[in-house]
Amino acid sequence: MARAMRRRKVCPYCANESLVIDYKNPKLLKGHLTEGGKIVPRRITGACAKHQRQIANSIKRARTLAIMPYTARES
Amino acid sequence: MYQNEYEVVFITSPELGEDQYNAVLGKVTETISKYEGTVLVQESWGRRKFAYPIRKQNYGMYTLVDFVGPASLPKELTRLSRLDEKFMRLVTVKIEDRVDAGVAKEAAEKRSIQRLERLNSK
Repeated sequence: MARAMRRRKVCPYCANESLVIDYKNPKLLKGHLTEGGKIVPRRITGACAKHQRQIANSIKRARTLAIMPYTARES
Repeated sequence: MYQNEYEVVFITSPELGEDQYNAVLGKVTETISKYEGTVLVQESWGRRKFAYPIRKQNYGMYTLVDFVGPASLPKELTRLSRLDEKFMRLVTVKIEDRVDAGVAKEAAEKRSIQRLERLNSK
């Protein structure tokens, strides 16, 4: 089985500085949640450590304010 | 003492009358001025749907207040929200370290305009 060479993804937030990570912007953060409401890991999104940290913190703040869900089961 | 810029977002029940709502908002702004803070921007996001029910309700009134104040203020606001059950949630976030109210005001207003545009476009 030949393993495909995968190019290392570039962090989308480093590549595009106009993307501001903010807990008040659920549109952007939604892309970082799985269907069940879990935070998507870095290895999938390609975000760098710095930005992944900002994303995770923002999602947690947004959860406190009921802007983002803790789980997608309810509703 | 130097001051930092913070923003506080809180949720109140949409069932509160206008008077009660203004009283809650007043408590927040009074606390800020009591601790020698300055309110920069105040936004009402109106009635928004929750991602999950809080106190068996599905909607809440969201309000944001951007202010400059001493580091003791966020704690005091949290305390206030715990004592008064009209607050369903309250979160304070630091925006900028060691700022001057006059300087921060312009930037805060600019951000507020952009944010409200985004909220209204949804």
